[in-house]
Amino acid sequence: MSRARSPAMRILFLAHNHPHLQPGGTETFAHGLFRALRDRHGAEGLFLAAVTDLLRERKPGTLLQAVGDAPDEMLVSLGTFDRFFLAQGDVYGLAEIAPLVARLRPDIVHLHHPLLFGLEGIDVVRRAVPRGTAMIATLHDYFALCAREGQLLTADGRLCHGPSPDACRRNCFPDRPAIDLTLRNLAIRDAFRAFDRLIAPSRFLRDRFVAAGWEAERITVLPNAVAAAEPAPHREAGPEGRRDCFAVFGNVNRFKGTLVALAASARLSREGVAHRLAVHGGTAYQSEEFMREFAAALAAAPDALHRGPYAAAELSARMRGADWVVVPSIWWENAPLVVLEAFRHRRPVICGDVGGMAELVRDGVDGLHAPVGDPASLAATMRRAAEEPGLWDRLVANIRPPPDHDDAARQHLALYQEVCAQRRRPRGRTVTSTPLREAAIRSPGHVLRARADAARV
Amino acid sequence: MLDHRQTEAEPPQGAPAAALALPRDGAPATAATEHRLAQLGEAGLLLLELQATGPLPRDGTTTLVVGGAPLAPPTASLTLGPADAPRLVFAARSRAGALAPGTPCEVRKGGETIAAFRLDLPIPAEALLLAGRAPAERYTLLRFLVGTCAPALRATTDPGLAAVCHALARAAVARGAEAGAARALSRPDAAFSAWAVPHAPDGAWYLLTRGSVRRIEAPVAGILLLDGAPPPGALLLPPAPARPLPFAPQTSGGGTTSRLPTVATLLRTGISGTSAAGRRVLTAFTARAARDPRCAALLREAQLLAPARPQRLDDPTHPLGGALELALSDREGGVFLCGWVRDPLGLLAGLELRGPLGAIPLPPDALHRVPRPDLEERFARAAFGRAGPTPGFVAHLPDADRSGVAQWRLGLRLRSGEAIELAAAPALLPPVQARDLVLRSVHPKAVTPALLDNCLGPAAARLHRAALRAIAGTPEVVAIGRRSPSSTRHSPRASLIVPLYRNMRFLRFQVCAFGRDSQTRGADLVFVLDSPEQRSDVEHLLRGLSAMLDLPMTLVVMPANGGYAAACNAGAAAAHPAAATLVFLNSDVLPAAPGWLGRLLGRLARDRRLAAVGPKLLFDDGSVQHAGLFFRRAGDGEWFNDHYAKGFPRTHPAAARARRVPGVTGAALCVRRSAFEAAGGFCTDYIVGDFEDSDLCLRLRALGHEIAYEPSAELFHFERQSIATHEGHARTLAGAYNRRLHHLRWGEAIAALMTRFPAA
Repeated sequence: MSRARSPAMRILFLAHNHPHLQPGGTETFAHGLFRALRDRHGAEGLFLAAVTDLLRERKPGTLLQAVGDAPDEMLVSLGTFDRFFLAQGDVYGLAEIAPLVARLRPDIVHLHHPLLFGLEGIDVVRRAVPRGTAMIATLHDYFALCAREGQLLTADGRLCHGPSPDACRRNCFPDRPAIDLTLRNLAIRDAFRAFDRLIAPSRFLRDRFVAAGWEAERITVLPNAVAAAEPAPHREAGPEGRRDCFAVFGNVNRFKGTLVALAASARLSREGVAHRLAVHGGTAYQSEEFMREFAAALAAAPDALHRGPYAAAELSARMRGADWVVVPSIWWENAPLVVLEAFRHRRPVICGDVGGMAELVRDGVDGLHAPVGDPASLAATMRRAAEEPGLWDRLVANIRPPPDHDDAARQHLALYQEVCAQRRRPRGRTVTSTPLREAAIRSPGHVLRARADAARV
Repeated sequence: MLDHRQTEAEPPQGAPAAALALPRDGAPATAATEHRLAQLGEAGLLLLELQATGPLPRDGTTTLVVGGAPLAPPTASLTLGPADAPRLVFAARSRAGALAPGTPCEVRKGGETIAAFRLDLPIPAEALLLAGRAPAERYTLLRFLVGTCAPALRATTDPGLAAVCHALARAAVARGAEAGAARALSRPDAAFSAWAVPHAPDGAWYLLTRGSVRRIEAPVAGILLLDGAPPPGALLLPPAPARPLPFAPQTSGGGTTSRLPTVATLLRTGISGTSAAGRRVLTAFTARAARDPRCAALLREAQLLAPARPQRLDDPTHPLGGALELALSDREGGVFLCGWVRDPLGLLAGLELRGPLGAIPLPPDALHRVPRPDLEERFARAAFGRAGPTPGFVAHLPDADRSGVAQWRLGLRLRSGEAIELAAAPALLPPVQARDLVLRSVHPKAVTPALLDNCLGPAAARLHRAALRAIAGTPEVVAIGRRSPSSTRHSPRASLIVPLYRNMRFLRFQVCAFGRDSQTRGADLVFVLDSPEQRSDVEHLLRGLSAMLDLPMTLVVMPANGGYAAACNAGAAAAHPAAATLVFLNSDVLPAAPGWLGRLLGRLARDRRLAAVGPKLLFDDGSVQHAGLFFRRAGDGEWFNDHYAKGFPRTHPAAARARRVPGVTGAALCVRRSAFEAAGGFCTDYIVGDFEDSDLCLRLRALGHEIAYEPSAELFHFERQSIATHEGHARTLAGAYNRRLHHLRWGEAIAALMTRFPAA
């Protein structure tokens, strides 16, 4: 079926949340990228975020509603989601959005997270869009591998290198029948076959997927981005250029390592090292037990202060009081936005020595690594950061500004065009090197024999 | 002397030499026989009484010649009065118009003309029969008319005859001190009424109404059963010499009929033993039930509605114990028994099975004795002794139940001559339930081949057949989704058939997987629901998935649970007519990757000798679940099914070779439709599910085909999830039964086959 080729790329973004409702890293990046593509790079399209009844009531007679004033951003209410199987049970509801998606006739569908849309959502969208439409998914975390909130972190807080049937059952899902893990794995891989390309924001993440058996050629690494902004001015240094103001940004919870940072601060206080640790972020959805631990940790760290949640616009102001940004996460992280924010505001980062954190922050270049999850080592690193003369300045000088949304938009557009072209090529052969081809290139006379050899294989 | 005789057809005798002058011109005859003539009703029955002047010939038939022509048989005659001057009563059917007064007539007997006259005018029948007669003679005439004339002359419904019989009977009814009557026991129902009648000798009973003379069934145990209520004024005529009896609608206590119980109530009281009259009525019904289906039905209904409470004798402090836990109809005329007896002191002389039609002895060789571990504990410290090693018994009596007994009892006959009776639970259960009870009646460890072959097997087989028959109706075929107009000439190469039973855990995964694979999208998808009670949920789910995936499919809903074979056959029947290959998949089978179907079909296409292929099946952790099916001998010599390379790593060489195999599992079985149909589809003799796949493979081989394993197609099989939830299989001997059936049927063929294939 032919249609007039419009120069603008038509994109459909699918996200599991909208930053106006609840700002998380994935949806913030996805939304920023979309707006850049739409507003400054000539793309057309729709940003469709899934939402639950928790955040928005349904409107009568429709699953859809607007979010704010933007004409190209919408919400769709979906419930009954099974986080373990990434299963969206509301197949009738999904079928309702199919016409909307079909009418759009996008060139690209870009899924930013399988939550809420679920594997069934992927199927619905694949069926609804034209055959020539390419589908791309960004792997913002390890959800497709790991049923524990996609963190590859065991129930008792240890790093996990990848799924294995025995380890998954033993460490994290002793009550789940083994069959469930197999089903989850099979279903996710099967559904994700619908994507022409997967984007990994870090090499580390891609490596985890490849180690788990996903095809490396299907995964392209494109970095995350944070909005362009004027860096917050540095604070005045202490005596002899002492830089001892540390800040942690992000949701306060166990896997973000807030307690580790507080324990490190407590240790520094006991050792008499002058410093300040500001904890920026809210404590929503945390258990009572965690809240008790958090309160106790704060009480034990006299130089630490909980400054509470902040809106995106307030980040710059909060950065002003910090020399260093500490990322004490106890999980691998992927491409944490907080690191990019810190670099945007020219603050060096102290983070764990593993995973996506360690990839973004170069130890001794634009930040410092500390053994992950270890308050004593973190304290030692923080002490060095506070006391080593000139360290801070050297690190700051090496900070490279992170990509902004326009950079990301350009990179993504290039990828979209590549993937679209690939998809519209005649089906069958992607160009790979085979013995037959090589034989033909070398010497046409040997083609016949090479062909016969190939047939016997 | 009474003399009834019916005349047969006989050529007329020659005219006797009798000096009789026939009168002329209507003048009364001189020396003509004195006679009287009566005509009964419109049908031409005539009664003639004449006075003979001398003894009648002893032998010979009596013929009446009217106007020169003898009346055709049948006729009947009766001799009354003294032997030297007897009177003859003659009954016949006359021709129309033959009885005009003045017609010359003769009566011949034994070749002699014993009477000649010209007919007088007929007189009323009652005048002929009643007036001026002694009661004894009237009674004799009544007997003659009712017992001889009515049947012989086919005049039982002749109103004229009926009226005169009725009149005679009325006159003969005893009065006063000797008065008898049929007393009502039940409120007259539409179907039956029950009456208590006085004792009478053996013989024929008649019901005389104003319109008919009918022979009825003799009473049993003093109870007379009539179809419906007797018409008003009807009279009963018991066998001679009893007098006619009126019907007395009142009870002996003088109550009215509206206070009487119905026959059904009487039966129930009889069954529960709470009424003597009820017991007698029950006896009468039982005697009649063997011949009268309506009686049998009423009896069965009464038994079902008022079952005696099951009784057990299981107090450990008693010296005797027992119970008849199951006494089930096998739906083909037999009964299956399961119970136990504990007799440590040897008090029992024997056992018998008691039903409404009598008792069937149960000698020791009729019973299979089995252990009862559940009784061990109960009687472990019983005062008189334990239950013994084999207190239980099971038995199958293949011909014991001709009339569909609703409840049996066990009679324990003691040496002293007394008997204890224990009632069992009702015998008529839905056949599926009954079949499963049979297969649950013995602990699997106690089952021997002999027990299976001689007792449990035949009973279960009969009930299984009844269960299959009970799936009344045809499966319903529901089309879900529609193919887009561009694919109206959809011609699928293959039909995927998935039987569903209870566990729908994997259904959405399966459908989504089929929806994402272009090869399965092009196939015909058929789901067969063998648990129809889930129909609305399953249909709703499939419709949603079908719309979401734009994937049409067919849902076949079985009328009742029929088991794997019946469901698969129904799926095959509903498969797209263009599909040349059928792929049977369990509901717990999931593709490991797309493209498996093409590889299976390709294998079939490359080798014409193959009728079926099967893929590699994996457990959830990737180890091999199936790499071809073969047969292994169990410890007892019976064959059972096994899979090559079960438990081996996915890529183990033993599971990597495509090759011919004895069979493939039905969990994923790809078969040419023509071969499948030639083999008759899956065999429904197996109970619930088991061995149907190897049975089919062996049948395909018997037809000359080969079967192959195709490892390039891989699917996961989350094994036994569905059969473990079927009550008919999980805790019963269904598996043992199926294995025995399979072994008996195919044992030799398997032995020959396994000489050509490796054993593991």
